[in-house]
Amino acid sequence: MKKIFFLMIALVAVLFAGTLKAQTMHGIIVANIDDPSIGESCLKDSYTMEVEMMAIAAACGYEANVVTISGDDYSYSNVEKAVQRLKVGSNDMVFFYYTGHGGRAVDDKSRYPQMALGHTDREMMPLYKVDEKIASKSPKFRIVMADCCNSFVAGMSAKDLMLSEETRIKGSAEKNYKSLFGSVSGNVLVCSSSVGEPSAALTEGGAFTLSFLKELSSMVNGNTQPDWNRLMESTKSRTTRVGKHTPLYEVNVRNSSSPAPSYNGGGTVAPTTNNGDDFLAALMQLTSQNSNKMDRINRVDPLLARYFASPRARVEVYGRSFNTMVSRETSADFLARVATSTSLASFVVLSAEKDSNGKITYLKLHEIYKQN
Amino acid sequence: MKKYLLLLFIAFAGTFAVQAQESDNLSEPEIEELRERTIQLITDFQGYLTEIGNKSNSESMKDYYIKSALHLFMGNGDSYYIDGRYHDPVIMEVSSLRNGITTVRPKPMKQYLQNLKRLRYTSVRIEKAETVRISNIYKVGDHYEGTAIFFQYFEGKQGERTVYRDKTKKAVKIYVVREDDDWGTHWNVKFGDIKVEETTAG
Amino acid sequence: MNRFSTYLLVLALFFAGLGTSLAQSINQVFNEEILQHRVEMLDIFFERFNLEKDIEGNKFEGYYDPGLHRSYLLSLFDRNYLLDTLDANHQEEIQTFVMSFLDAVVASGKPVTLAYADSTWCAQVLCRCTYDKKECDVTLFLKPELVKPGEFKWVIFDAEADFLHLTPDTLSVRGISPVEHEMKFLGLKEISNAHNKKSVTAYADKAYRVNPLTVFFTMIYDNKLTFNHVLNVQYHFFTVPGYHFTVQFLERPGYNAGWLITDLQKL
Repeated sequence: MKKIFFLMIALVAVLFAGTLKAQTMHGIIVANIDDPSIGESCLKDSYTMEVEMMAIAAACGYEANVVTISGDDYSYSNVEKAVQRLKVGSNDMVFFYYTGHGGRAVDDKSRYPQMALGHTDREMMPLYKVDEKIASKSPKFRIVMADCCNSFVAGMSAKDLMLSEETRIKGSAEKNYKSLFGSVSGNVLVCSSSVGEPSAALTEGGAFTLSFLKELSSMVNGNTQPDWNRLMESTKSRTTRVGKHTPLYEVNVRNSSSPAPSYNGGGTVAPTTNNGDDFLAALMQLTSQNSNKMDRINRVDPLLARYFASPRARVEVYGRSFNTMVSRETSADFLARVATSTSLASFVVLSAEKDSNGKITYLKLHEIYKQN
Repeated sequence: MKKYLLLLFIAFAGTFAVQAQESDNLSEPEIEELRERTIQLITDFQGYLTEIGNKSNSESMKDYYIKSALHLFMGNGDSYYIDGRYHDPVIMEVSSLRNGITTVRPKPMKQYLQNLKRLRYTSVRIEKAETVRISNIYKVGDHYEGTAIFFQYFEGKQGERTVYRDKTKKAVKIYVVREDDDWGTHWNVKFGDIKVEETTAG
Repeated sequence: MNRFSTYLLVLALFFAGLGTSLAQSINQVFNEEILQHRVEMLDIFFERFNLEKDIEGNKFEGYYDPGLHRSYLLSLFDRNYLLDTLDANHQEEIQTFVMSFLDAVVASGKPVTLAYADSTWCAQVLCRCTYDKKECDVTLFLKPELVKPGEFKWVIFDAEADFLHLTPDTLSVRGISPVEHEMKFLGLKEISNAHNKKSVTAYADKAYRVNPLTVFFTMIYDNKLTFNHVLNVQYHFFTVPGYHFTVQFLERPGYNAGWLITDLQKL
């Protein structure tokens, strides 16, 4: 009798484990930042998309697990491994984003391009293959997006695409983010240009990426019901107007039955983020509204000692355009502020310099705030 | 030759003067991003007030929040200089509405925060509106100034009984000033005096 | 339905189209919709007048929409002023007047915009002061002045109060005798005696006009007049050709509050 009782407890625990585990937004950003012609544009894209992914996770109450593959890590095998190693729960979301060169073979059957992850033909990875691979892991919702540039378009003004604000999630926007990302299942597959077209890379970022982010911002901050088809259509119109190329997309999205979790006042980050660096996870824990307030304050000194070379290490916060420094403070003041903030939702580390002990001497980041 | 050198010197001096002046000015995109930063800091400040007034927080925790709050203000709550001119410590205007009459009193920010910490209610509730309005930022001498408006709800209870509640609209002076630190000079957003614009029954 | 009524209907919908949101916010302490609609800052008045930003503070993008611009302009009027204009006797005339103002702003292709740096607006500030140990009111007029490129300041360009005109107390002052030139103008000492000093300006030539602003500054300088506080502020705009409108702050519940146009005149 006792055995049956304990077996039942175990069974119930197993059944509920899936629903109790926090939903995760798995993000993979692949950016060809070292390319001499488009590298600067891709770097901007990688930053802006990382910010957006963190904002989506924060607004939807997901854990964020965002990995960026760029610079020395930029390779076919690393992208392949990142996709293969995804551990995706049935309620999780996956957002794969690529910015770099792309192309297609004459006999390519898919409308979608191949991503140039190296200099040889064997290092070209078809976008649809990535979509298939991610689909095989059965996430609740997946987005596979590519902004493939094979030419730099000079002299184009992107003033109407400038993302010059801080990232601030208003109360109304949180609801709309959830409608678009949290309460849906299915997939979106999109690339920046149609068969045979190049894509425009501007100094501020890819024309398609900037258009998508601009339209997404309008939609989440607007009053009409968010909708993926409308979002993709408006992105397509804007990209066509600004970049002179036409995105391709497929939207297979439906409302899911499991509601998006409520925002808990501070997103969390799964342990492996930014290529295994747990600093961001520690930072997210410091800002988490779920944690006891005194615990957050007490964590400041240990974090300072663990991650920073000194309490006077330099920390700079940049705005959404990543050009304007909006704050500069010592690491001690920075952590104290983060530990007491009631509205910081997430961070994106733009760069960090470390000493020979691996401790941060200089940190450059962007902050995402939640306004309610 | 001397005249030529003198002219050349004047030409270069003019160039450097212009360049120095240019680096003293913020561009429009920079101003826009600093305005957004201001809204974030106001949101933080309102959060600090909620925690300082929260009766369930310990004294030491409240002191931590007070320190964070003062850090947002010119002079960290002490007297300060702007454009070479002396200013008294930043003040917070406090209002109370009784029998339809509003009384407004200015208090130095440090004193205000200490008073907030020690309010004689059994529970205090401070809520903020999501809406924050910020004016343009205007150049004044060697710095920039603006104003922001935010809204606050205050409720004080003794046990279950609400003793006092009101809603206030407050205006805060914004300064964007150049600050020196270990790595040079940078622009920073700081707050000045906070004025009560309107008080209504809660 | 004529054009004015159409726009009033749009205006009503503009404010009322928030029914569902209003219901949602009923349980919250603040009604964010109302707070966003209110024109809390003069800069916001400018932004909406110029159709630069919407109610939520987002920049307008895309093509210029004159119809939307007219709606925003109407929303910047004090509704009581608009309703008063619906006095049955003058209804059509007033409607035409307001519509012609909207048309003048939205002038086809190139709308009239307000800018801080314009010389076509000024502030009228009613101040409570103390003069001669008694409280009194002084109206100051201010305008923005360029200090150097990109930098402005407000400057006082006029002042108004009865006592600033130094109006002679009595008209019975005869002035300085025509023979004083033989007395080496000994009689000048009379002008500052207790009986005559309040009529000192009667000793000036007939073309002389007192400058109230100079009197105001002199009294402040001599510590005879102290400024206490501001009672009221309003702004006058002459930017739209042929029109003068006044903007005041209306503190009241509801959407139609804040800095609003309370009067409109044809020039």
